[in-house]
Amino acid sequence: MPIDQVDSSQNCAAQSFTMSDRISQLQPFNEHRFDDCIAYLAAKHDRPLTVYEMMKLHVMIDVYHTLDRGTPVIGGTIWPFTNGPVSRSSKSRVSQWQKQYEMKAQMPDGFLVIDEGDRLRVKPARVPDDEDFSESELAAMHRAWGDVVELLDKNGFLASQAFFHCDGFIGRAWKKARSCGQNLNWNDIIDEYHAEHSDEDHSRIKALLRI
Amino acid sequence: MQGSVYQLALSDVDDGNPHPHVVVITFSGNRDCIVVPAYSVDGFKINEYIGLARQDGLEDDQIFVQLDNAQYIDFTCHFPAKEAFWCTARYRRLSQHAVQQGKRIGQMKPAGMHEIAKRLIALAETDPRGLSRNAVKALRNLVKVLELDPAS
Repeated sequence: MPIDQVDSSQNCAAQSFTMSDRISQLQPFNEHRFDDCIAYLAAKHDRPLTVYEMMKLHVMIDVYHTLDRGTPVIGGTIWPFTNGPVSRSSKSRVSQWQKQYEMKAQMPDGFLVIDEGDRLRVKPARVPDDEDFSESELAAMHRAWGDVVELLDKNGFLASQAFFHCDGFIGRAWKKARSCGQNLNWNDIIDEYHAEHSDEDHSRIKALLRI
Repeated sequence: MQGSVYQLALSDVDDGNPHPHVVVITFSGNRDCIVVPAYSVDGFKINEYIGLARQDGLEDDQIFVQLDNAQYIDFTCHFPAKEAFWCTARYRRLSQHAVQQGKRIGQMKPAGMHEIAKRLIALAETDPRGLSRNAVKALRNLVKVLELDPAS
């Protein structure tokens, strides 16, 4: 399935936004929280994770937690890469893990690398206590797991790509950001989600994002 | 680090203008912490949020604690000490490294820490989905310590 072509010269709705309408970061990237979420999910489901899965889990954990509580679990900005929305910070962290493994056979702190030849997976060497997570964080991780890993396992990579490029609300927010060459805007993410779930009231969450 | 007040620009809201944040609890294992921000009592956006939160049924003591910063903070630099809403409903969990990137402007006195920790516990009691059990345990310990030794 081809990824929708996006013409960067087309009119960009977001360009008419004032700066205050664009929110690309709600809090800085928390690398410890990223590690905790990935380790917890991989251990809970007894499933080593690929780089693609870790990148998408970060995005969807933060998206679902922000929709629920107005704050991400991990943080950082989300860039509209060709393969879909990805946090530059977690991409950089995992690239560093890969580099250290490939150059020095060094394992990332708290994880073990499984080398499958064509790709690497990681599994946790230690698992965080589930009392380190709030109920809302656990719920966001559960939903993210469904959108990322279960979708991949059930319908394959192309279905996952469609979700992150056009089919899902996050795909539509990605498309807007991609057309402008800017980070994903949290207001767009919430608006696109609201378009699918108009029975839910997101006004307080949007007000919370502005402070 | 606990009780330290930093000027932090955590999001790009307001063109990334910084606000004071107090470190309420730290997690040594995870090397992160929970911070609560302060806003001027006459700020438009904080009052807009408080209005919506009240409409949703939240009580004021679950949303903020109002403190006179001149009385509750020992400032370590020149900083306008205003009456402020410390917005407990807007707590964030951040890496300690990210917090230390901000400018430290002072130290919250134990009485202020006690007020903020109590409000976070009140929030967790009415909204138990928000804070982790370990965070609530740490907050209860903090309140206990502050009540046993108010000067600590």
